[in-house]
Amino acid sequence: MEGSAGHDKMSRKKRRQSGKSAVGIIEEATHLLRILPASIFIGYYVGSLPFVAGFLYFWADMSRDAFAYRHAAEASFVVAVLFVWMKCLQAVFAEQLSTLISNGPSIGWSIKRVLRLIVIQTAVQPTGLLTLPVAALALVPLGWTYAFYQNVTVLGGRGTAGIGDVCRKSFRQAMLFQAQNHILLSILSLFGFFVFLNTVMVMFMTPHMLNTFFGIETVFTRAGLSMFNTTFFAAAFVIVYVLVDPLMKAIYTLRCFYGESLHTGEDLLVELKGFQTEKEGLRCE
Amino acid sequence: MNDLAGHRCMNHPDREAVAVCPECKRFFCRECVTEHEDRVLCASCLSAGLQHPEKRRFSFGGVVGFAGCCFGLLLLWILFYSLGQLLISIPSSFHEGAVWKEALDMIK
Repeated sequence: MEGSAGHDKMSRKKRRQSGKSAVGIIEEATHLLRILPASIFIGYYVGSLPFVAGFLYFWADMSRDAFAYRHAAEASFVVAVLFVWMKCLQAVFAEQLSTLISNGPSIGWSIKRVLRLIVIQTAVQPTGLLTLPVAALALVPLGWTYAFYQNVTVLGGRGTAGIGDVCRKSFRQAMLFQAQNHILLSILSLFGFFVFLNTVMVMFMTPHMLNTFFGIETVFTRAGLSMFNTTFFAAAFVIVYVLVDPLMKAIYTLRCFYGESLHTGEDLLVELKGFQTEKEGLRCE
Repeated sequence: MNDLAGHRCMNHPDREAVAVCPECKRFFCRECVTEHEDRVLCASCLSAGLQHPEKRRFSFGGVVGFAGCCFGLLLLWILFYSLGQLLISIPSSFHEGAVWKEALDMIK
């Protein structure tokens, strides 16, 4: 009995230090999204959809308009502002996820906290648009680089640290549980690819099905294979992004939570709170 | 911790010292020190600090943050502008998806 209890204690300690399995984290993140209130999801999409719509309009305009060069500067500035808006609301989404995970009280959004959030996301996230493609070409550092920018989203919404502190913490978190990070990125890349294939099929088949069942003729049914233009693929990519990104945010919020818990023990406190609530529930019965 | 060994509290000579006040660098026992803003201070340094709060020095954090914001926004603007220029420079036949028709014609 003592031997098995000792073995359980050692494996729990080892699991805490090496992190949960990648599949376990994905499962936990999926469950977290399932229990999330709709208002939090709405907040996420209020941030992401304007950028998605703006970016697609920008793409279509620059691809087709003969006079696009006249307003390219203004259009690109608007898209840049929408990108910042999206990143700020994604940080708010991650902060709300953190509050749900730790079961703690939510801290109000003071002006100082909002300004700090905007500064951190505006200063750091744009560099990701440069470094991530370079990391993808080099292949090896991609996992750490991607984890770093996700951690900046998660940790940047706390409102208690400056740019330097957030970057340092994000870097430290990205270096934790490396095997878990790379395995889950591999799994999610495959998942994202299949979501992309499904999205392309739905986008292609919907106009044809409308034509077949209801006789509704659209430019898409007349276009034939020309439907597969650059705007079509850009639209497919951004749809996949808004579908898969909430899961990515949930996963990296959990990774940051477990990473910080190695020092604070917060995961154990949350577990204890759960036992206490169960105990009180049994007592009431 | 080795520095504390053998030292006695400044106020209570018969008690062992457990802390050194970071302000006055003197040794004190458990009862003569208090934790304040993540620091362990003796009673006299704590009361002196509360009576004369440190004047706020000018912080460069705001300036750095503003500069960071401007840099980030400028970088984003340049990137999206470059993307726009790239899309403008690509021939419209490619954007229209005519490449698939050409590929089919070549196969036929």
